[in-house]
Amino acid sequence: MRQFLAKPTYQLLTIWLLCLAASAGAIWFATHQPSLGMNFKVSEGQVRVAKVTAAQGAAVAPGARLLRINGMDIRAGDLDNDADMTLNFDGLTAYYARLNTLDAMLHGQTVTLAWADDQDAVHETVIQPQPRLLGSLSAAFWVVLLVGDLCLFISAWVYVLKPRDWGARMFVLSGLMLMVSAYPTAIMYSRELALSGNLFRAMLLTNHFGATMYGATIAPMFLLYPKILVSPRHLLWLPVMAAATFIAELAEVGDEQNSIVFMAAAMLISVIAAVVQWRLTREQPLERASLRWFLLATMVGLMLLTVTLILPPLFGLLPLISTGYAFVFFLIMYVGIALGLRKFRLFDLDEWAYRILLWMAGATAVIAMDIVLVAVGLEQTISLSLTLLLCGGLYFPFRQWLWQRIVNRQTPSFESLLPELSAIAFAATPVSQRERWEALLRRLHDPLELKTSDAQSGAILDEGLRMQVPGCGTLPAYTLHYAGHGARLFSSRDAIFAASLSQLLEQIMSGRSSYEQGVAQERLRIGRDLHDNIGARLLKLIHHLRGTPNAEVARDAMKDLRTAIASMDTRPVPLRNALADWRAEADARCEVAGCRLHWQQNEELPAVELAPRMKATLESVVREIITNALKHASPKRIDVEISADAHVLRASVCNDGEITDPLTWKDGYGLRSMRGRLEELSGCLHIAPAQDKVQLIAEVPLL
Amino acid sequence: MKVVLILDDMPESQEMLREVAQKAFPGICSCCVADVAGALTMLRQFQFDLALIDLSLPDGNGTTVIEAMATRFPDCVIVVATIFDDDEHLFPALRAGAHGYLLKDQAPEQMVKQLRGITEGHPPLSPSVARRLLDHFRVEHESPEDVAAEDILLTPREREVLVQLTRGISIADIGEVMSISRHTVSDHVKNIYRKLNISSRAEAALRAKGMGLV
Repeated sequence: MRQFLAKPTYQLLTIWLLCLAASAGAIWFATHQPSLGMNFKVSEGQVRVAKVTAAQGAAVAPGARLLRINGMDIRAGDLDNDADMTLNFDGLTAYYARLNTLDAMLHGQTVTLAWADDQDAVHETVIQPQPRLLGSLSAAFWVVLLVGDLCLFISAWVYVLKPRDWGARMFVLSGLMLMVSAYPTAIMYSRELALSGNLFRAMLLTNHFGATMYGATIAPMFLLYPKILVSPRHLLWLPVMAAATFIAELAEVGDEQNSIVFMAAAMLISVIAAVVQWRLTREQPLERASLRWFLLATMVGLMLLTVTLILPPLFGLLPLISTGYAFVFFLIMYVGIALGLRKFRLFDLDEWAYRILLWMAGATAVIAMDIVLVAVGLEQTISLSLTLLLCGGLYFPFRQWLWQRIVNRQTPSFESLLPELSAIAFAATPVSQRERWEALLRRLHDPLELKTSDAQSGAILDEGLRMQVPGCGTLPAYTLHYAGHGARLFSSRDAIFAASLSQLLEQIMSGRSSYEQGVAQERLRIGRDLHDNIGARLLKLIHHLRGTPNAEVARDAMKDLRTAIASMDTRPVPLRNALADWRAEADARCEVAGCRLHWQQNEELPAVELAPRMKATLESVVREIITNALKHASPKRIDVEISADAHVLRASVCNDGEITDPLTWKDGYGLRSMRGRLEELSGCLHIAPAQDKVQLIAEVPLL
Repeated sequence: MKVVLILDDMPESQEMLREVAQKAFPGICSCCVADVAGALTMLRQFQFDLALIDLSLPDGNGTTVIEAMATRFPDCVIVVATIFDDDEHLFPALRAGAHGYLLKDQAPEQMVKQLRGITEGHPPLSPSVARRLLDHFRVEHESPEDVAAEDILLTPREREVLVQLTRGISIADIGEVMSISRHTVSDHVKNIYRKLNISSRAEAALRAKGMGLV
């Protein structure tokens, strides 16, 4: 049992069941009072029949004036539930005595009612009182019961989750005291005409005890939450004073309105404490936002209560509202706090606190349905199975739906984000990876500010004002400031989600990098094979052919091999660098051939990069052109002119060697393969014959 | 240049390199070995001014020899003789202390020219490799204070030459671009190397990058 009660959920369930049991007790009591089968109301100082509620009262017409019961005059004051507000101790004693007499009559076998109809004709009806029917209980009875249960439940909910918080402790005590004052009120409101005067007195006193003690706990709550203004020890005098007030009332000493005065004083302390709390949060927008909600919820309830119920009697006026309905104001207060828990993290609670409620609702549904089915007449075993079946089929899907509505509403699922995460991981450059990741974080949380940080893990900072998202792979960690453009706080759920997202992204990224590593390794292997086998043989060939024209062919083959291996690199090459490489190679070759190279290129080159494959292709084309010129024309000078803009790269090569008409050139392997390679890049090769020279122009589009 | 170590496992290459070294530095004494073990033994017995070292050898990698050589003879010019200039092969060697590299498939006359460049203060290193080296070691360039100091150290003309040098243009072409003789360019280059305490185009490129010149 002790272990059972150690868990907040079970503690709360126990309290809830106790509330329900108390309600059941009150209902049982109310329905076991003798009933005349009609409800009464006071209008224009007369007691009238408001409604006939059961068969035994059918003889009396609604609207009839009730004159006497068993010969005893009935007065409007007999039905006054708020007699304590207007009568002094002596008046109350007389009131209780009348109630005792009436109650004794109602408990008799028969009761004789004298009543007057519309025409003032007096009738006498003999009624056998029957137990009260459930449906005839007044609305006020139900309202008060509901408020009592709910307020205790809500405050207990906060308390079981934050048992060490002084604010929560005072909150739960106030909820308990509210219930202590609510139940007697409900009992008083359950009467049809009269209750035992002794019982009524006991109920009234209990109600007063609860009310003063409520004042003695609600004022400390404001003194202790959110900031502890006064040490809890120093607040003990409040309940002591409340007890003193109550004992005075019990002993019928002093002023009848002392408890009201005490309540008014407690409210005043609450307001002052609230003002001080408010001033203390001057510099803290977050705490102030949370306090604003808390004060709004509590103060609206308390103010309405004070204005309608507490202040009028102090000025000798009647309360503006019946005590029963005044309990609704408490409900505003407690429900307001319950609703604020998530958004404003009241008592430092978060949306997870709602989970416990859904669980409770499930348990309650099962029990309630079981009771209903047994009441309908089903056997207990069958009813329990049926209940579980119905709850399983209806309640749990509903709960899931509700949870989604309350908590998960705007959080997209991992599944829906997976394509986006892959897009980030496979983005072409680290910069675009970063841009996409930042965009995703912005879209998910809509922060006012997004800064890189060096955080190692995800976390909520400053009570939800900021959230850390850990870094992953090459992406830095971030701190997000002010969720929802400042309209929301980050929840612990947000942090967990973001951290999981970043972890997932890291996994995808490492998948990408191992893929790339695999590709690189394979390239390396191919490169090494080419190097070790073909390269070594080609070199041998070059040595053997030394001094023959074919040595050049072998050398070109070696260069092409190098180009091919270089093209397996994945990194794009800036155009400037590619041109420098080609120029260096052409330079070296012309130097060996005793030919002068004149290389011209734009001063300002476009900032484009060539894919390795493109660089390799163009490199071998330029090489081929130079080779052909050196081989066939034996020139003194080769002119290379490079012009490039953002769209086209154009290389024009001409030489001053022996000129043959290009039309007579055999479209041999060299020319064909050059054309083919350029066409592969959507480019072309022009041969432009001029008078004293031949110009070859290679053109490729740059993307 | 008095003694050269030639490390190559292909006899034809060995022969060719010996010829090239002789032509570049007449009267030089060549010491030829075909494996790492042989080279390391030689290192312990003789002193070398120049080393032409192939990388893939039957009993290991030429880089081992380069390291030993650079430690033992800091003044020795170490040149890698290879058929490939890819990062994978070359960078570890340059890191280990090689000053330049020769592509063995080139015409021998060209290799001779390149080796002769050593006496003028620029060991053979193609601009393409220098630039890739630069990209590769980008992260390692020095702190801004040093950079500022070096920047002041160089004359405006020298800075101009340095910029051209890193673009991969030959000494002769630099002269043409700047309208000065190739000898003047060579002098500038020597001064740059001396002032920056470097000995290769690759290092020059790195420093130029560090200074924000390129």
